[in-house]
Amino acid sequence: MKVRVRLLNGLHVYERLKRRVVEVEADGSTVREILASAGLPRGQACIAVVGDTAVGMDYRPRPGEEVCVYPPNDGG
Amino acid sequence: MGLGYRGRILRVDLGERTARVEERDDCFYRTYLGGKGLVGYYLLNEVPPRADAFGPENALVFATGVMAGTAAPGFSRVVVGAKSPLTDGYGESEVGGSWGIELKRAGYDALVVQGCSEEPVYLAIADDEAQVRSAGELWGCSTSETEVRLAGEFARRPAVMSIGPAGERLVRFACIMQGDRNAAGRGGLGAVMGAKKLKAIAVSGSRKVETANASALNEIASWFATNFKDNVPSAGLRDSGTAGIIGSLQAAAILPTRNFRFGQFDGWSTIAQLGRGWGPHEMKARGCRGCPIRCKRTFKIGDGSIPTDVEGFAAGPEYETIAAFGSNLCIDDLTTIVRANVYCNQAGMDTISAGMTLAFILECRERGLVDDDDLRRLDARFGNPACVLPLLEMICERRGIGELLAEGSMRASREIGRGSERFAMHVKGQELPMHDPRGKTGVGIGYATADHGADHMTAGHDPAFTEAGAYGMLTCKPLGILEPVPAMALDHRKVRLYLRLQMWWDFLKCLGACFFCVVPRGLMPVPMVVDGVRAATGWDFSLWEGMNAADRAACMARAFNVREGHGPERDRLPARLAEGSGQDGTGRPGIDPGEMDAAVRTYYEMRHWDPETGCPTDARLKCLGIEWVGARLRG
Repeated sequence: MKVRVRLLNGLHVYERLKRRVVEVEADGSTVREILASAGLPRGQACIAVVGDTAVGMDYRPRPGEEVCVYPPNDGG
Repeated sequence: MGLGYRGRILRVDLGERTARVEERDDCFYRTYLGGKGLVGYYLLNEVPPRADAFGPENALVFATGVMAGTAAPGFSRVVVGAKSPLTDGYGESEVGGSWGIELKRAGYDALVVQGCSEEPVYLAIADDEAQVRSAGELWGCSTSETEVRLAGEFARRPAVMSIGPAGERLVRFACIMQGDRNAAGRGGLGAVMGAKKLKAIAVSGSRKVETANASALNEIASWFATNFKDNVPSAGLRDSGTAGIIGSLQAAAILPTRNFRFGQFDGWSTIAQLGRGWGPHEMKARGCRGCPIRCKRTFKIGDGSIPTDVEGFAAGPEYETIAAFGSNLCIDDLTTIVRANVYCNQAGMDTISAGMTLAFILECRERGLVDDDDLRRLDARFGNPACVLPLLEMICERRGIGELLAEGSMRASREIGRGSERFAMHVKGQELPMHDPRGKTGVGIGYATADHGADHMTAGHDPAFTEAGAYGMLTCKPLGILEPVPAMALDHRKVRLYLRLQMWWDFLKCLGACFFCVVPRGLMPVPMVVDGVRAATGWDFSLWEGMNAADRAACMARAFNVREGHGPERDRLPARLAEGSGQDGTGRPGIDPGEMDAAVRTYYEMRHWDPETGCPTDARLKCLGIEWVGARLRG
């Protein structure tokens, strides 16, 4: 069963990604590892959320789960 | 006339009903650049010490930069300044839109307004002609209505800066609006305009701004238009507007909630929707003239319940407003947030200070510190959307409890007493924006030391500089930012990081730049900004010169405050920020006041300011070539 990592607030623009959702088999990898394997440079995403709960980039998504990741927050 | 700049400052005296042009040479512009640099220069020279912010001796300055009106995108912002009725010190706010471009095309780099009119007036500027005209019929009108009525007075549609009824009634956080969605929001500058009985400034310019190298500026514009879509911060703004950051703030537990008591809000995902749409209402992204990012949101409202533009779209709220009336008041009713935003824009009130002042009084009532018929009748409490609009109307009209709240949270807390000062979340009298320093300490240094009170737009925020691969780190090496610093560090490394970013920000303010177009919050890299100044002016300009101009602007603003008797005691964060923001242990720890005081002292020392008083030293002023500031300080 797969996990989905949704890229929010501009993160989809990276050259090797160009997509808003990274979908991979749930193999126990952390969010950070999933994004690195998909080509997102380290340091670009720093916040991960499942549902309404912050989980961090070292979270290991469970099968069927969807994680949202955001870039570092800045002034609005 | 120079290149990039006009060499002309329009001076208007409302008491005398006169307008004249002051000419300035190349050296003046290369020293002060424009924007914040000109605001500091004129305020320090024209406003006498301890002047009444509402008196005729206060000056109201509108200043553009040397790239305004050129092809370069994102340099059309105007810096507005005056002695602030909210902070009783240096007041400053920036506004986008097209007004700065029109002023430049009319032939002026800046406008300085002095004196007070006895009757309502507006200022009509059409190229070389500047007239003070009666505004009797405009007094009482909303900002949008004022703009529509003034459009008919010009052969060519003007750009209009105007105040609403809140400015007319001297609400201390009244703002100046440009169009229906661009606000010079902070510092109560709309009330200064109201005290001068100046309802609006309409500008129409028809002359092209001459530059040294127009093709280079066109190339910058073309490069920007080609590449901004592949830039993460720009793509985020285009996708979700400024509301796009709500999710990450919630996740980091720094989304201001319940008057900064907490850092997370259960309804965060609901209010975050406003960045991408609002129920069935058609959404259109809008931007300033010439900017392809289009970070603003507008919604089509068909029922006539909300004032709209000619296409039927109403201005949508930006992040600060969404949080100020949303999480901060524990409200997730989108209609209330949208309507509160539109009401404030039309009445001419700063949404940040308005939301924070409401949060203050709600907490006072919750804690039994205030017992008021209006608050009881409206069931004024956190989480009740029904009380928001009536309270905003009472503030604008200075009616009932609104008379007290129109003074802002600091003055209201002094009136209420009983320990309510603890719940007035301000620095120097200006209410905190919607960023919690308990998750980004550099923002706290910015709140504490900003010359014009708490402001989130004095520097880039910490999270973009915590990892070597983060966008801020990748783009800001030309500023000398080479090592990441943890978000919660508060030692000399953080002060150094903040100071370098602040100087970059002040340089951008001198240029009238939009922070969303330039690194680390946007696409345009540091060298390209410098190249833009060179192309506009023909100067062999350098980043070093730009940072020096920024330093001058900061020193002049600080000197203004020192002359008013303000010292380090005003460079402090609200006491609440020393407490944790936790709910069930998930929040952020508080910021130690002693550590913050030490950081502020380090900041003074790094700036070559007196560590005891925070006053720029004579040596620093001489080094920057503004020794005249020392004479102003000595009276």
